[in-house]
Amino acid sequence: MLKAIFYKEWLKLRLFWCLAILVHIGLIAYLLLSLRSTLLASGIVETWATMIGRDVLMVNQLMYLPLITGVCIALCQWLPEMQIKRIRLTLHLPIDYTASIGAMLFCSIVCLCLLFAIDATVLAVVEQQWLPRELVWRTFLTCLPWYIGGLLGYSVTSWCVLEPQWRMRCVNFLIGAPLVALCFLTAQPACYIPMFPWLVLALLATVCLPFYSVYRFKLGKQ
Amino acid sequence: MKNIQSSISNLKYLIIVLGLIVLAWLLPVLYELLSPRTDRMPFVVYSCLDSTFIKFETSNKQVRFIDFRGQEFTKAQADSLLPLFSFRQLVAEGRLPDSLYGVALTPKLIQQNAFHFKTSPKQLNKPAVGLYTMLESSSGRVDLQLPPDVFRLTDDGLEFIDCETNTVNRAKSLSFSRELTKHGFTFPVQLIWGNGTTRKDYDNGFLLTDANDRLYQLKMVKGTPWVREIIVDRQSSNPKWIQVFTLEPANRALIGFVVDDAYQLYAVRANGQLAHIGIDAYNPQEMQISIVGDLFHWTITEYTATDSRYYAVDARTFEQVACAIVPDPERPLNQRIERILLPVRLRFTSWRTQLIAPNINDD
Amino acid sequence: MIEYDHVTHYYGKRLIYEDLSFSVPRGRILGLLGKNGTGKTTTINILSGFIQPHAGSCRLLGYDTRTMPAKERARIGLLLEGHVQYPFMTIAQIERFYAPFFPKWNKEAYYELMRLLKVKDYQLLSQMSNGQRSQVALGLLMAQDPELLILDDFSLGLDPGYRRLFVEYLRDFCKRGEKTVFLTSHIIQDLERLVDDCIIMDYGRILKQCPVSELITPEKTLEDTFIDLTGKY
Repeated sequence: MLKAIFYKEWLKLRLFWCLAILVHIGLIAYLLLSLRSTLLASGIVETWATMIGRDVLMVNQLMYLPLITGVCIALCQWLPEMQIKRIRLTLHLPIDYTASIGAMLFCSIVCLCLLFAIDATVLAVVEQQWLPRELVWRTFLTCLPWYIGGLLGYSVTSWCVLEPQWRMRCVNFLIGAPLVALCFLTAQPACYIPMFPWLVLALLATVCLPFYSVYRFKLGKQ
Repeated sequence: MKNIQSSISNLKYLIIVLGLIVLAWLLPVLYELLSPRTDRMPFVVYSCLDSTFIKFETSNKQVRFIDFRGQEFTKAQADSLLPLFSFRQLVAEGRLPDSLYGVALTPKLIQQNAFHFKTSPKQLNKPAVGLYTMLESSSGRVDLQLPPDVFRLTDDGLEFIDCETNTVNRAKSLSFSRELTKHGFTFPVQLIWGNGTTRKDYDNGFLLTDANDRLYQLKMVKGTPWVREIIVDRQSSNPKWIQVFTLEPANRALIGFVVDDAYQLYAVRANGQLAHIGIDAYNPQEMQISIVGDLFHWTITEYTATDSRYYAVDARTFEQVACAIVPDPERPLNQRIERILLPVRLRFTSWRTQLIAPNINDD
Repeated sequence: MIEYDHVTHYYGKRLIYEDLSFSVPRGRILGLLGKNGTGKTTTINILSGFIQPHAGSCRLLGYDTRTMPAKERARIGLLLEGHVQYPFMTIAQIERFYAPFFPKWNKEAYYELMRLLKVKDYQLLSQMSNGQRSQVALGLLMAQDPELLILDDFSLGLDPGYRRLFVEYLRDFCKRGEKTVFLTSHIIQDLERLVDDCIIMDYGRILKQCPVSELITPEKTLEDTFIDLTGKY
């Protein structure tokens, strides 16, 4: 039965995922080509010196893409369900709603994680041809809060969209948006190291909240 | 099933907790937007002619010059009292004294002996890149050149990575590591500081400490490693060093500064000798420090959580000449109100570090 | 099969109805009639478990709707107002999606109806007319083969041709399998052909609950009786 849920989500979102993969790969390719162009134009020695001395990693264009992807996937996934309360079809299925909604959340979160892992892997694999491992690792540590921000953006958007009452949606947004903003307080490389456990906690907390919105829907709040 | 349902219905408490956390963070931010902090630390320089410190106080976009006795001066008077600091203005006005303390003053001499050093906990507490640039100190060229490699620290030595090939230069790595161990250096490196920029007149290489807290200077001379241990002239055992800084002042009199675990600040002279600097204490993790040096004196300013400390030390002997400790003024009304209205102030940025981490009431 | 006991419901401070009770025995088709805003969809939502009533209880197949085990919902077929389904799916995909949830799934029953519609397996629901979508929804119900059907305004948006097709198929399906049906509709003529019993509601109360045959005379249609009972607009 859960396979059927995954099947439905795949049918609903496959176009979006294709587009997201294209955009992500496109941006990663752009970043790598820009880096290569800088290495060739300015010289490898000078580029390394800039990256080490001025702590510049040339990945800032990636900053908000995971968040935009996470928010968009949540909108594409849940807006059709909330339109004309189509979610009643899911809630009427002969499985517990925690399993069905959980499966829907799970499949998007896994796909987002896979997408971000592909981003990070491609970036690391190609960069390590040109850069020392310290800079490659530093790039990963710099991007990691943005990826967590993407996942947070997904779970907060899901929480808001699934909420049946507009008033509570606003409250959810006012609480959730700052939590997402925690991932974007600075673009300074690798400065989020002590913050990672807290961001993961925030993510685990917000991932539970869409269930509460659906619970409220089932109570008949509108 | 019932347990899951009751867990889900209890999520409202989680939402409340998250809401409170967000409020604890954002309310102070909003308060400070509406009521910004205006406390600015004044710039202070020691006047050897006035034998006191002169404050450059900015208010309403005007700069006032007031000494610590409370006497206010005009800009022209302040320039006269600080001839080495304002020498360009005095030269332009033809008012530069011919000599001071028996030393004939020339703009070149003044400029060569002027230096400024500044650091703060926030500048020190940031994630290290882990890669360093070893410049050629004696290339014979006027300008410094970037080397074709960078190095990293390993548990048993230095490892040089060639930039063009992104591979380890084993021969160079071995050469530098061996030269250090030949001088008694015990890996791994504990502290290291160097200025890997070519925007300076010369290069002093690196100050570094080993596993036994011995202090060394390392640089590259004509492509080969040059190592010198900085001998600590003390009867007691070697101090434990907690911070090192490398400098390249124009007068080439210093290599850098070091701080020990008793928070004593030392200058490392160009001849490799340590000299204690006559200030009370300097804790790099808790204090901002600024050193404005001239031919005769250094003005050392320290900002702590509770006060501002001003020292004047002799530029040659580093003995204390003057000292003033000014407790921080009472918090302005808006900050006192903030502390009452918002007893829990959550922040994720800090004056102590560039790292993002939650802290409560650390303002 | 359906026991609706002393149910009271509010939306905020607005009372929908108070102390409403009715029951639907096995094998009967009951139609709920009422003007707009009298609580027909609210009743469907309470029956489906999407709304918790303010007071009272609702039991389907012997289970309270608030605590019904999830797997029992396989015995209940639900048609939402507007024949709501997944517009991004094709005929084949939607059948493939629903099949694993229902142990008695009868694929043939679904495709038999689809062949009548002359739609291709790869046709998206979003590209179909209202009538075609209603038949898809009906086909899914028939494939599910539930014991109890709850249909919310099944004729909404359908032209007379598709309404008749829907009614005929539904009636044959229900009579064959001794299904219990609870439905609402705006088109009272359809209910005349389909339902065994009916409930006529007004704002906050039941006006009449009886077999349809008692409300139809040679001189009066069900619609005439409805207007007489509820008053002219």
